[in-house]
Amino acid sequence: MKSTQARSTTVATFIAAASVGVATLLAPSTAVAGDLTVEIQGVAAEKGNVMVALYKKEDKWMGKSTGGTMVAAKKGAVSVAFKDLPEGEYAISLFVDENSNGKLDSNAIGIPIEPYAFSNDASGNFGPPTFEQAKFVVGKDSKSIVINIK
Amino acid sequence: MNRRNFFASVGATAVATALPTTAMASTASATAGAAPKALFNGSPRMTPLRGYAGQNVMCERAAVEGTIPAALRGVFYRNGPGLFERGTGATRQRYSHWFDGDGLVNAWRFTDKGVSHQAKFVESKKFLAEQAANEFLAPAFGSNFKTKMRVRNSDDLNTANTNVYKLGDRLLALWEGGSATEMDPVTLETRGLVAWAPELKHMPFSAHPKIDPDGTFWNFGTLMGKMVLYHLSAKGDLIKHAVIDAPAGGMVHDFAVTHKHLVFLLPPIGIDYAAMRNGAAFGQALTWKGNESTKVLIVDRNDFSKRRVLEMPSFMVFHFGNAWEADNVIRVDFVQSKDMSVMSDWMPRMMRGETVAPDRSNPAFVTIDLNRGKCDMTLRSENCEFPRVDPRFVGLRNRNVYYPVGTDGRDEGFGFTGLIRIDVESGKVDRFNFREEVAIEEHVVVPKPGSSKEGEGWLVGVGFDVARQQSFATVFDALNLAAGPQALVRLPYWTPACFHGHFHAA
Repeated sequence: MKSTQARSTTVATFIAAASVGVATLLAPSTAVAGDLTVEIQGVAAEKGNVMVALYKKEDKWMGKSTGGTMVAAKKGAVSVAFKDLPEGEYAISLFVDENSNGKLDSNAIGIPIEPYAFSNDASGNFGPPTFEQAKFVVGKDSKSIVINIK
Repeated sequence: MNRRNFFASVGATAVATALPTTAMASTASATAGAAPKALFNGSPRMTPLRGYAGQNVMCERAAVEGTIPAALRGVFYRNGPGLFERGTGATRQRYSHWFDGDGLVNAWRFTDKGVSHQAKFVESKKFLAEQAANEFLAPAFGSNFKTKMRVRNSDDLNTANTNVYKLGDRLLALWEGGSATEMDPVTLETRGLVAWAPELKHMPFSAHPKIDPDGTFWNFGTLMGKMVLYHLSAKGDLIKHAVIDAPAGGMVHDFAVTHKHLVFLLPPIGIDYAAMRNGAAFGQALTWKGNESTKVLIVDRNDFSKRRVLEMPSFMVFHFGNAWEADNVIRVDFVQSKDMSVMSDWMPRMMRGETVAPDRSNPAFVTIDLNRGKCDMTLRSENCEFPRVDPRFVGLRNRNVYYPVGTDGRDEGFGFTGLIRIDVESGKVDRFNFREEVAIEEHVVVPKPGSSKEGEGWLVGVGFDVARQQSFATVFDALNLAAGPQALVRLPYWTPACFHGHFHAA
């Protein structure tokens, strides 16, 4: 579908942007910072890695992300942490790289065939959800969110 | 006994004492076999469109009238939309379109012990989630319910409700917009979605594969401007595939094969993407572009990159009978209607309970002259659908095409009332009209074992007996429909109407 193709392209862009391997966060900042823990539920199997990209409001959503991290997939839930985040609005896009090839695989007409999800468990209508749909606020204190990838 | 009076000869009271032993799932008893209460539309003819509430049914030994031929052994699999409503009272929801219903696979088993029937819902992701929630959680083909479950690709909406075919040891419940769903041929347990190759995961796989007499399997899928072509072995191994740009067609339902070519007729159906963004379901966003042409796409079976497109004045087609070719001239037969109003207008009205007749659809025969690049169409007047031919002659020169047919001068609305065999060489028609009020579905040719003569065998299909509110199967001599059914197999309950199926001989 045009919609899903668009989505797959943008999700694919995300991978390049998140250009994984980056451990935790970068985020050099002046403001007071909090930690963010992201629990990813509904991982199907111990196969590959969960690739997580974090965007802040100022970033181009689904473009180059503020931070990217990955964690080995295991059946059930896994979690990742982003340290010392400046206060602000953020959103997350993630996928399970089941075959560990570093990218979100698509079928012959561009529809993703590996699981993916967004913060707030947001889903888009014709393409990925908007930043507004997926956004959450990080304040001074540490914060935990849950994303369901099932 | 005069077989024309088969139905009449066994009145309802006579049969009451001859009810077969049944073993129905306990959840089935509320619906199956029950007298029709207040129907959604008040018409007893429309009962099969009420659908089931998600229950599976079984009848271990159906009542047989007449004689099942000793050589007719195997499983007649059928599939169709079986559930149309969820919730009750103020939260009651009903699909707007016949194509939306969740797949219910039927197996009529013809054995030495008699005939049994089983129907089991395909446990698709959508069906399981909605059963648990007791509400519809996602849009369907023609119903724009709010999305309340995760939809990542069209398989998340896959209802596996259109056809069923046993390929190797896999029973495939087929849809149109997504993958085949594998089921256990014996238990009808759902095994899951089929991916023929990693890059073909979640790809559209039509409900109308064409199978050569040797079992070689051809299919296609269309999705938003692309077409994927599939060539599989009789065992279900992928031989080759290709993704091509579709020359036209927001929706392509069926196709035909000759021994050399895949033949597509692509009606001028567009997709109104703006309407979809504004909340219309896919089927509601289809538009008929009657001033455009119907495209004729011809693909070389041995090399999918060799393709040719011709044009014809616009018409609509859902189903094909057969195609064959000689001397660079392709003959293809199908059922034609002038536009897509049967789907866009009549089906939603029917699903609302209106007892109106659809626009006529007629047998059509097109000659495609590949040397001259010219197509000619001949139409017949019979009002029919669901054409089938002898499976030993798919892609080869055939003489007979079989169709359920409406009765001229009657306004049946849902369901056909008779069967015809058209001899395409002589033009003669072999016809049987049911005297009773029935809704007749697709009938398939089952070859007689050991025979190679076209039509030698049986025509097997199902129908709905309106007076009894029961479903039945019929067995005809495929070369003498006028003689009436050789056997009639009654269930003690009704089943939702199916679309298509295949008979797999034992």
